[in-house]
Amino acid sequence: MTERVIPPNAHSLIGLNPDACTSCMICVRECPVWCIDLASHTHEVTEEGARRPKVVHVLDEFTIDFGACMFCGICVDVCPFDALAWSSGLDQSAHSAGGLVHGIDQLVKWFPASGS
Amino acid sequence: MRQVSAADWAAELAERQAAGFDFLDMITGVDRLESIEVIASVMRSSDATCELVSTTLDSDRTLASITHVYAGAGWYERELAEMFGVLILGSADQRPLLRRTDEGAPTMLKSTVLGARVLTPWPGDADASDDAKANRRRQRAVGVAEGWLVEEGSTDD
Ligand code: SF4
Ligand code: SF4
Repeated sequence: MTERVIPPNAHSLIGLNPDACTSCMICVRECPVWCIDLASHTHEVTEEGARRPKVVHVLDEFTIDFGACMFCGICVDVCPFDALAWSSGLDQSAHSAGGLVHGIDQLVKWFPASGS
Repeated sequence: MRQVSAADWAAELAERQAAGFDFLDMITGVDRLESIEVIASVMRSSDATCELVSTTLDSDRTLASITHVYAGAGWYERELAEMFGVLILGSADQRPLLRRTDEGAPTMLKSTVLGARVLTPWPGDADASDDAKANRRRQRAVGVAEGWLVEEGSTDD
């Protein structure tokens, strides 16, 4: 059997950069299978010299259910802040269906390190 | 993308395989409203090069099986039958794939009403921030046609 090569554009796991995510909900709404969910709260910050406080969204939870995800890449494409990216890892087995729901802690690990 | 007539589908894929595309990546359908398009992706596993082959079905929605070329095609052909209403000719296994019966309209056709899309809470319906929830308008999810939703507060009894 010939050696198998994983295509460079293979869709395997999706990583999240929570620092870049603005909780805008675009990926949640565009996902065709509704497998992304997030929760956030708003918070007012007053910057020095600013006339009024700025409202910022703080991301509390972000999950992707890889058991339902069909790896279409729409979420990666639509994110205006490049907070989602493909990872080449193939590490997505779990002992139960619930184990395929990855939260921020896991998703951050799949986000490709900058410069790679 | 190589475009062929439905009659040439099996011959074209046999030719792709002879040209070294040894792995069937996937086959899927696209509901173009006036017709169904079927697309196969084949890959040469030595260097991961992929090629797409596409065909547009006639109104009878029939397509010859390619399981004699790529055995793995059977799975996708069952999917095409069940979800796009494609009649696959010459395949041994015609069992429904995911749905327990073959009742009801094929689920991937745009004309099919998907009850679960209305009954399942849409994660995108809520504004992410609790503070913003008070003043929001109900939004319609992708895949939920206008008219499937009964507006909150409207009387329907
Ligand atoms: S890849 Fe597609 S199915 Fe998976 S989370 Fe993103 S949009 Fe949803
Ligand atoms: S589209 Fe990007 S920025 Fe917006 S919620 Fe999704 S990951 Fe965050």
